[in-house]
Amino acid sequence: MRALTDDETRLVFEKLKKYIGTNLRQMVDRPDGIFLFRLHKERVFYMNERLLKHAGHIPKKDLLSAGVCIGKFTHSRKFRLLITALDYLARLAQYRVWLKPSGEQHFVYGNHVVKAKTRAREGLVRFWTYVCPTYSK
Amino acid sequence: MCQPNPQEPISRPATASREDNLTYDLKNMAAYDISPLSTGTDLAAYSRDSVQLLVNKLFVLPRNKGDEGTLIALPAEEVFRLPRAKPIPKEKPKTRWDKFMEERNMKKRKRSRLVWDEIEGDWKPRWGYKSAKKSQENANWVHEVGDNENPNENPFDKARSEQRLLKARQKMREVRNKVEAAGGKLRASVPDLDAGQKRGKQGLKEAIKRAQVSSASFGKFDRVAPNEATNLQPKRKKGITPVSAGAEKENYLKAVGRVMSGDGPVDKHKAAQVGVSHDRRNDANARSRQQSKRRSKQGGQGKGGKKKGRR
Repeated sequence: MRALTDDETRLVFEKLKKYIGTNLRQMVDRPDGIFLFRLHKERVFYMNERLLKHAGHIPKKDLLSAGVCIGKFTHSRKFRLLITALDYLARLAQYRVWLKPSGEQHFVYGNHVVKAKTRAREGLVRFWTYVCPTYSK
Repeated sequence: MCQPNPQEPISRPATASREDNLTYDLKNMAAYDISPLSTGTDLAAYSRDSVQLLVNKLFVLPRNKGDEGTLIALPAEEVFRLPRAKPIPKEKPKTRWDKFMEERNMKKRKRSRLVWDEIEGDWKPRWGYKSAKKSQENANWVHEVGDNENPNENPFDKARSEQRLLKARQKMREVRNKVEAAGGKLRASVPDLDAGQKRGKQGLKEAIKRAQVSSASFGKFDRVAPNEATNLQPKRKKGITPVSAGAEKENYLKAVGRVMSGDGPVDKHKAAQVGVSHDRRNDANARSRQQSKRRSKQGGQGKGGKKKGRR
């Protein structure tokens, strides 16, 4: 496990910024402790400093994960978010969309979320879109 | 405006024959009359009166005797501030040449459109259709091989390629000016590998670099060719000095600040590169289109072997 380099930190933050925007600061600056990012086997983990100290005791080969796995770096050093980051993304996301059950099915089978399918009465599932220059809301 | 016969000037009294209903803006030397006109008023006489009233007002202002004669001091404030149709243009950052000109106290001199063409014996335009430049080019149809010149070298091609190089340098300078105006710095850019053009030594190096990592395992287990350079890939910085948790948090906050205020996904250097390569490609396309036009004019007698990799 090692800390992230400047480039890696930038890549991670830029990706997170696309989903949680200005709330990114809340991930770093937390009142309940210092939370750090660590790289282990090309995966980025987000954990409390205390947890980090405990994880330091485990040999590298035996360590599976520590804290929350936010995402991983690919072969060509691109950063991809993983589903385990959903908790944090859900809480800090800036733009959210509610879907009707039909819309949910639509999305699960690979189609884009169409405006007609939004605004569920029974808020069954919650998804969010992020505003990115290439995507239209 | 019809002037009275100069032999018989019609002098009217220096007063208006109506009441003063004008709003004056003397700074702009203007007077506004917003009262509606009734049909049948003599417009010429009406406007003469208005002008007379304005002139009377102007002549009441304090006068200064100066070198250029007597001047009236117009009031400093204007009554109506006319709005701008467009916002005030932003000040453009100075280019390198602008700064140089300032330093050396040079002034911009305007070039004349016509130059004396000795060959034609007439004033011809500096550039364009039937220009002096073109006639001089046509006149130099023979080039004597000099002492230091290689006789097997086409001097016209050499001159043309030199011109092209100058144009490319100028293009580079323009791009650099644009980048510097936007606040960036133009670093020695990586040559763009374009299929339609010869890539040269720099392009070959870049191609090797890219090819070396173009395998599934990122070139880790590939067989190395004899004399192949293995140190071309950019080294990744390793070894992060361990810092305390507090210091690391500070670093994160700084990184967040940088990311939040970032220029976005646009890399200025890449953008400059793309701009230059686009222009090059357009020039090449234009040239090849011209050449193919010429070939078709000759009745398809051109060689069919040369294929251009046009996209």
